[in-house]
Amino acid sequence: MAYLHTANIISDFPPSHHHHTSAGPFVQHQITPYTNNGGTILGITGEDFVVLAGDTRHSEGYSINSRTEKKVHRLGKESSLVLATVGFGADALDVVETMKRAVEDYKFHHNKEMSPPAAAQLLMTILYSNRFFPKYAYCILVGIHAGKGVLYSYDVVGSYSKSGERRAAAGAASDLIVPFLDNQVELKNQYVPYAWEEEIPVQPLPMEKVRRLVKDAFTSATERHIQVGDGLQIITVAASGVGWGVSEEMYELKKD
Amino acid sequence: MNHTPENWGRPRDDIYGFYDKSFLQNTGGAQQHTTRPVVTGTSVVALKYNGGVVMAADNLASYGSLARFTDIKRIKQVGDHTIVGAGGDISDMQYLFDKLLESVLIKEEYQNDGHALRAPHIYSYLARVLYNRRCKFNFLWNSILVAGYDDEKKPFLASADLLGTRFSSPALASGYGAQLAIPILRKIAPDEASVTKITKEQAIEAIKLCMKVLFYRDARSMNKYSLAVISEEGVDLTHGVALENESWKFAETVRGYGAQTV
Repeated sequence: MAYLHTANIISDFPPSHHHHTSAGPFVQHQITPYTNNGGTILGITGEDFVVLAGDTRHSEGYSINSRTEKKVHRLGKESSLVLATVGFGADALDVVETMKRAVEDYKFHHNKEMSPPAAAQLLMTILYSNRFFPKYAYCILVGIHAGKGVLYSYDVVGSYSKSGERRAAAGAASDLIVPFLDNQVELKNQYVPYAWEEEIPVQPLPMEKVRRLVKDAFTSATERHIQVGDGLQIITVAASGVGWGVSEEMYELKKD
Repeated sequence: MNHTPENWGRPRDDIYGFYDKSFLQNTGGAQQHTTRPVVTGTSVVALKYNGGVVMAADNLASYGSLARFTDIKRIKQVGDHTIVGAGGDISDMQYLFDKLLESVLIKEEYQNDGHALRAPHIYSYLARVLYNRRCKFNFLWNSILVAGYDDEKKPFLASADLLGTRFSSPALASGYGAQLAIPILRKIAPDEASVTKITKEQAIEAIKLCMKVLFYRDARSMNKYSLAVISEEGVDLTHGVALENESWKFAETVRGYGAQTV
């Protein structure tokens, strides 16, 4: 962390030496309150479940800070809500903590769990209330609503789709993963063999297939992106009867 | 219509004249925040072992390239089982250590409820203070490591910096330590499982080696450091530990820059 010595938190590339010349007392050092901690998150819904995953590498520049920082967080012990965040690690954790406290408060006030659509709207409000000093956190929020898996994804100022999405990816390797998801989840450019331009109809995927897609997406992203790797945290929220079950799986990724 | 949001609701210059800033002390007219660290400490290194944590930081405070103070304690014991090590701006470190942490400890002591603050509590407090200050664009220019035990009495080690960035790992180092010490430490502690195989002696040896490598290569370091060993018995914090087996024999084999002509 060279900026502890030279105050050039912002990119000093190509290297300039103006920090070391005596340009008088009024030189303003450029500082930024943000950094990029890398990593990627990915969520896919099925009929009555939703899978949310994120790699566990935490990096800054070319340094790996940690190989075991989790990005996917449950918002309450009794809640089906799960939130994953990437971008600037400190802002991302702050958004998660704010949401956790709001979900807990809601339960104390109303004696019931916050519904995913309500949490989705709340997250938008939190992100947008920081519109003029944004929390640099890309979010994917999932949960079980009326027996179905739901997924919402956000940009840093809170834009989201109220009706939810079938799948979403965010973070460093989202550019690599989104086209893969277009093809494998939305079945874009997939045609019935030997039939003239007959598209394969989109249908909800089974849970095992979804988990396999998630692992494939991350192993491929690990090969091609330096900020992705080390470990993969996969959280599955599945509807069961009137309730839901949450399970976590850890999957090894390459550490190079 | 003035389209600049910061001017909305303020007296218009064309009607009321420019704002008279003459009563303000500094010439900038606005509150000045720290834009760079002044007197600085360099790396802090730490490693978990089976049953505890070892941490080290040298005793130098630099003023630019000048070795200004050579007896600065950059590791502080907080309560019975926690230590905090800091790099970066020394005055900000002293504010954290002597003002904030001291008052937190006194407040906690007065509760007299049998509850003691453990490392994760101290850590989340400090990380929150750092994050809060970055949100006010008034940074506490430090990078800190917190070590001790968590609520399950397992070794705890985590890092926070001036931006409020938080992370945890079996081996951590700030500053040049992230470049020079981490590769040495990760060789013996690549993951959490390997920590159980490391003895206290091995951890101390590894940390001492890191301090030596850092002294050889980091121009803002010195050969005297504070060494803290956390074990079941408590914190063993020694200041002014001298570097052992220092030898510059390797220097003559270094080629490519410096005074050599061949």
